[in-house]
Amino acid sequence: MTHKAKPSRTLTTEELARVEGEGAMRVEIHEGTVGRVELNIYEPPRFFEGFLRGRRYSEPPDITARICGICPVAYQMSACRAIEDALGLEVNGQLRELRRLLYCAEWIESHILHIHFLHLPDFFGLDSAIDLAGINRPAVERALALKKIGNELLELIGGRAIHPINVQVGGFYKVPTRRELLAFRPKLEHARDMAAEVVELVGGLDFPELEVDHEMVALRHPTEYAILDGRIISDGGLDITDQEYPEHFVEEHVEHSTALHSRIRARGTYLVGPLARFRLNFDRLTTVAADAAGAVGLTADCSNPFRSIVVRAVETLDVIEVGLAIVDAYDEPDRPYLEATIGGGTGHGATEAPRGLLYHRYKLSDDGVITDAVITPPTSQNQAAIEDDLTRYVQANIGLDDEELRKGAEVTIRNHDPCISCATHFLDLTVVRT
Amino acid sequence: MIDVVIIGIGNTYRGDDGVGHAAAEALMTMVPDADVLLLDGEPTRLVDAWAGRRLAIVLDAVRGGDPPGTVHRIQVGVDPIPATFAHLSSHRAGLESAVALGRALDRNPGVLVVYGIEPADLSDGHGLSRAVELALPGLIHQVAEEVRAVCA
Repeated sequence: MTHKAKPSRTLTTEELARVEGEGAMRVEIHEGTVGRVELNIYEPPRFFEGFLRGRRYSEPPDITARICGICPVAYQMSACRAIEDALGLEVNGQLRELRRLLYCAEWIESHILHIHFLHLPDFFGLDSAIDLAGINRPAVERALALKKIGNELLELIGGRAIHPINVQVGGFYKVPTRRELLAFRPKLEHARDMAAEVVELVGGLDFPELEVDHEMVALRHPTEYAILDGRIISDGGLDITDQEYPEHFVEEHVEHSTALHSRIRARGTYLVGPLARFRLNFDRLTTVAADAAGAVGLTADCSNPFRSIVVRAVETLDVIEVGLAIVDAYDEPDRPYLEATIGGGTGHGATEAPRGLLYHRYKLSDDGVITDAVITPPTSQNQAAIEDDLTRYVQANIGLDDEELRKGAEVTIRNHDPCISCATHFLDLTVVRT
Repeated sequence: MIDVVIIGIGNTYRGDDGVGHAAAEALMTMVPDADVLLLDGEPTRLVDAWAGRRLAIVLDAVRGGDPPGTVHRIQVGVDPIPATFAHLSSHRAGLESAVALGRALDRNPGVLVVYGIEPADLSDGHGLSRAVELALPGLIHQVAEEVRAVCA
């Protein structure tokens, strides 16, 4: 659908549906060329950073879990790792495995939600998963079943599914028995079969053409497809520890947004999330997941953000396979947590939230009180990259009418599953053509 | 499965948006015949929570233009949902989507009742406003009575 573009126009979306939370977007087009593109999101993490000062070192896992209903575990894990770094505590062995398993549960839930309820309707020209149920009810039923298994696993380890309460600095309050985990195995096996079907479903979609060249940043672990820990690396040569994050990444205030824009110092925009992880850690996928990716033609060099839906499906299959291995090898630890020795210091922790790298930093006084907190969520790190994708998308499709362009722009944003409730609430989209 | 569920939705770090959770927590000990859940309003979780139930009661902060502390009771499918309710709070849309999703998959409860409480303040921070605090006992009593009438 092409027609001669008016010399100048503004696109506005009063409300961008199917992203988590609220925000606004404005695209200006002047004489057929895309000018300013602004994604404007509010940022509760900034409020939480202030709110955490004066609190005890033990409180951030529970408090920061409240930042997001979709990825509370990510906030808990980055918070724990940062505080443990400050206290010189290292959580290993089965406690670390349980954390990975808890995180796997969150990835299942979050990815399945995004794939089916937020993103998939776009590929069928539908407005919602409710409409999707009208044309492919089994796919929606399967999504609910998968999500429920993720939910139940979260409950089993985290104590409850929304804002888990069983996580603490040093480990857990209570650990599951081997029998409890083994009893869950059949559900995970069922989930694995369903996830393989999801890869087939989304692998066969038609994807709009869009190639991006952002620097890709993700964690990298010696043996695992990194989620819980690892070095922070990029395809631009970055290879650093969590502690070095502030030296390499800067957050800048931009006028149009209450969120800060992150940049790699002296280089600029970068991307975190599924595409980055997949590119940098393809060789760490389980065989089952790598084979499933291969079967639908997804390769490590994929740089089309619209295909991130396929990466999420492959990652879902991968974490289920990883979860099964953790369950099989589980041996109930002697203690549910390691005792911390309270002391002052600064700690850093980065983990892979479903949407990408999530970095926390805490400064503790000698008596274990937080004097400074920094939380950098994936969505604010991706903000500049999303704006860049929008510029490319709108420029490449400038002949479309405003309505078509607005729809395409929304999908371009949704590719990155912006967790705007981490970063905000509803999104308004404005396109100005002059 | 217990066939009555009470679901408090909201965010306890957004002032009066925590009213749904506060009311649901108070009801936990008062109505042992019902499951009480605290959710964030995400549609698929709502559908999972109420699927197969005889009665589901959802408690949420809702802006309908009335004074803070006003309690609205709406039976979904029977009472019209006032247009002013829509999209004023980020999880209102979640509730509407959940009802539509439940309908599409035949997973809505026999009776679905929404209690909406008018908030005074939804800004960042802990704690309820005085107006909402004052409305809580009446709301809790009304919900408990409704559940007892069904379970009796």
